[in-house]
Amino acid sequence: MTTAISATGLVKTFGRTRALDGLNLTVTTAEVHGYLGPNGAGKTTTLRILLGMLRATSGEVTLLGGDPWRDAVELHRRLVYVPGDVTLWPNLTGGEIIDLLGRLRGDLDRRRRDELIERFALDPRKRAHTYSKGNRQKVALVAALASNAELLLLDEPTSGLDPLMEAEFRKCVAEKKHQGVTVLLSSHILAEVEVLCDRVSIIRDGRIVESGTLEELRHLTRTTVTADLTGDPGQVSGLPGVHDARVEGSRLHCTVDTEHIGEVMGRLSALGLRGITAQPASLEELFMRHYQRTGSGAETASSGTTRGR
Amino acid sequence: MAATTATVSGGAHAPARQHTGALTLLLFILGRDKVRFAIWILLLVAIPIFNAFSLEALLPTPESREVFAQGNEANPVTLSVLGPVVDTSMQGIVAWRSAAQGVLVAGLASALMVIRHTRTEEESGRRELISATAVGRQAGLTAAFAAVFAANLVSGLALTLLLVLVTGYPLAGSLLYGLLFALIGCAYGAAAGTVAQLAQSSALGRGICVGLLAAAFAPGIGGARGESEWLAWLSPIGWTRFARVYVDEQWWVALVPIALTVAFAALAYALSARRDLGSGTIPDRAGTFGPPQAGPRLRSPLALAWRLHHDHLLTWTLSLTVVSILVGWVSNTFDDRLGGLGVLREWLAGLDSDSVGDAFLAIITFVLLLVVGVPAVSIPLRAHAEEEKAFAATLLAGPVSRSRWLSGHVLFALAGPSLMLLLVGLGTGVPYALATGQPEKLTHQVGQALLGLPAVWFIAAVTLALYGLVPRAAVAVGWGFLVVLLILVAVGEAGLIGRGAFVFTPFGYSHPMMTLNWAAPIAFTVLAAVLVAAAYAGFRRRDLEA
Repeated sequence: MTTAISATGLVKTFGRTRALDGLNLTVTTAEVHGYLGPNGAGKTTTLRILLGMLRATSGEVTLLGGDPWRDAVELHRRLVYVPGDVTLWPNLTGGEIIDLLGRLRGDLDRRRRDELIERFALDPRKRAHTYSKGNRQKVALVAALASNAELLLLDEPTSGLDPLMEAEFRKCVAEKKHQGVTVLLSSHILAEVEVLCDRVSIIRDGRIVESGTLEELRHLTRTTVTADLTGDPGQVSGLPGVHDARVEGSRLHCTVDTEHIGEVMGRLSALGLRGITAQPASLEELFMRHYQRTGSGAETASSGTTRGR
Repeated sequence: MAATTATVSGGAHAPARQHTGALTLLLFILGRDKVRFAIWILLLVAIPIFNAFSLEALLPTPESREVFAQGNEANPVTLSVLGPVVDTSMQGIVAWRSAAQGVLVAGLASALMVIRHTRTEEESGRRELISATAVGRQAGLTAAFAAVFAANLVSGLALTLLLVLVTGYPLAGSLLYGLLFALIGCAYGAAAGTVAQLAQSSALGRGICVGLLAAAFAPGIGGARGESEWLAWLSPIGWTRFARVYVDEQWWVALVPIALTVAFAALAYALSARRDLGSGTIPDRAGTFGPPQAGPRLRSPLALAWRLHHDHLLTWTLSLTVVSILVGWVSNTFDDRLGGLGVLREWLAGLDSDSVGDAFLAIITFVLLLVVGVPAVSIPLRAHAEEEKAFAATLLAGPVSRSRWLSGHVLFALAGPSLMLLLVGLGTGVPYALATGQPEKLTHQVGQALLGLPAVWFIAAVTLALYGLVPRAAVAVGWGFLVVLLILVAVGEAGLIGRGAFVFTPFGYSHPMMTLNWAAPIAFTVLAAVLVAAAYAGFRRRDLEA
């Protein structure tokens, strides 16, 4: 297992603003890595450093074994980038732009290009100034997906796409993943992340606050349990890993740390379980917890679950 | 349902609602552009005051002014641009000398400001954002007009006050003079409001406005004097003369720009009320459809740079060539028309020319060199625009090095103005050589034009270096530098700096008044090379702006 992208202690300042504040990020070769975080957290800054467009103030970055600033040209032959806000030369047609970018990379595959234009229902004859946001996005996606690059850097690539095209995009990324291409995907669309990503990193205020597989991240959250008991539900509330316990007659509502769920279940059966529902944290809850800007993660998580009920 | 209909039709027919929000937008414009407005007002008042001081030093006595006025009658260039001197009093000469400059500043600033707050806002999509709020259809236009009219009136009144208080000129003449500049500025602003409704892009709109401004010089160059004097009514510069400031003020002349302002503003409103957001009747873009695949040549950053630059280059090159040919053609006729004038002979002696035609051509060639200074700034700034719109990032995310990308723009920034100068030389030289039957005139003209190469290279290199090192300042400082060089020409011509210093300015060493010192063009070539190297070094090291 090799590393495609590795950043250690990455710092980027713009004047007094600290856009990246000691960021550590590792993307393994051939994985689809979700990159999530609230607006302004530093996602695009990270990508622009990986592209050699910005120079890191301090810290170490390695991309495909090279230095993204120093070896930009060689590295760019092996990667493609799709920005979240695609701007295109107004007087060139979509087809011309796709061809120009492909030729610059030197791997324009006309058959694949035409196939992608077809799949994304793009009219390549139209000049860029007539394209809507979604259509501009498609031009950049076709140009990127038509290449043989081994790394895709995608910055909210589906913003402005309709659901049909979004589905097409997911298929394309799945195909790339199958071919062993590494993908760093910045996205806010949780369904997209859930379907595509092997691992995710969550950035907030210029630092990675959580990184791992979705399973691992789920592990850090709590399961919401509602149990109907014959015994005294009050006995459960004191157990380790049980939070927010609330008793209504014979019924107990609580949230349980995932690591303690086994013991709690055991105790509940011992108390005479008549009925139970247990819900793992939804992906949405998971991210909401990390997106909250105020307070520490744990506090916001419990306040989030409380509000949820 | 009935209520909805009533509201809609009420909205369409109530004129006041068309302007709802204009005051807020006006304050927003004034706040956003306070520096621009300040520079505009300062420039407008500074020019006549500067002229007053320099001309007072140059022409202290009534006799010297009399001779100066006669010399002007015989000088085809100043006569074409500034017209005849109406009044040889000190204030009369100053008013005459400042007229064209004042019209240029007030007209250009007003027109560009109106385009900036109408078509540019629309093009960028910002107007869409504003229009979606509770703002009337005409509010944007009204706010732009109000801001520009106010700035004109302030600058006109400031000029009047300074002429009265600082130079001690009579109040009535000073008031009419300041008022005229203000009203001419308003007329150009209103005309720009109409242009903004018609032109599809702000770049095209600005181009048309510059054309309208250049048209102010057409009657003078076309021979508006003597019996054809009435032609000067077609030019704002003519109005300043017909107003006879400081002689017997013709206040009614002010009605001409007022009438034009009202007419253009009414037209702008009428057009604006009828058209869709974003539409324009004068197209500036290729149609909706184009080739579905790139042509075989579109395969490098250089090919793309050519694609991006060629319209701009072609327009400049063609216009300069046409003007050069016309100038070359008419130059020979000056010998016959004006050769007999004694005053002229005297005046020519200072220019070291064999004939009036030679002198005229030398001066016009120099003026064309100054004009080429404009594309020498605008072409390199294209690189800045490409980066700002994130087009550069799209290419640089591919396997394109910073240097390779920049080279496309550097090439056109240096070669474009060079080609223009060559065509100025050939355009003026060929018809002049044919008309005079002296083939050596061609080589002389080409040599004279190409002597300007180091100057335009230097200007382009300064802009490139600014872009490479301090991109955010590149636009303002690049244009500002050109303005400073042009001011240096005026200062040098007025004798306010010594010739020894003037000959070492970019436009000084090839000035027809000066004896060439080869050290200057060589120094500017070397400096240009250093600055281009600095541009590369800076651009390779810095963060991309977008």
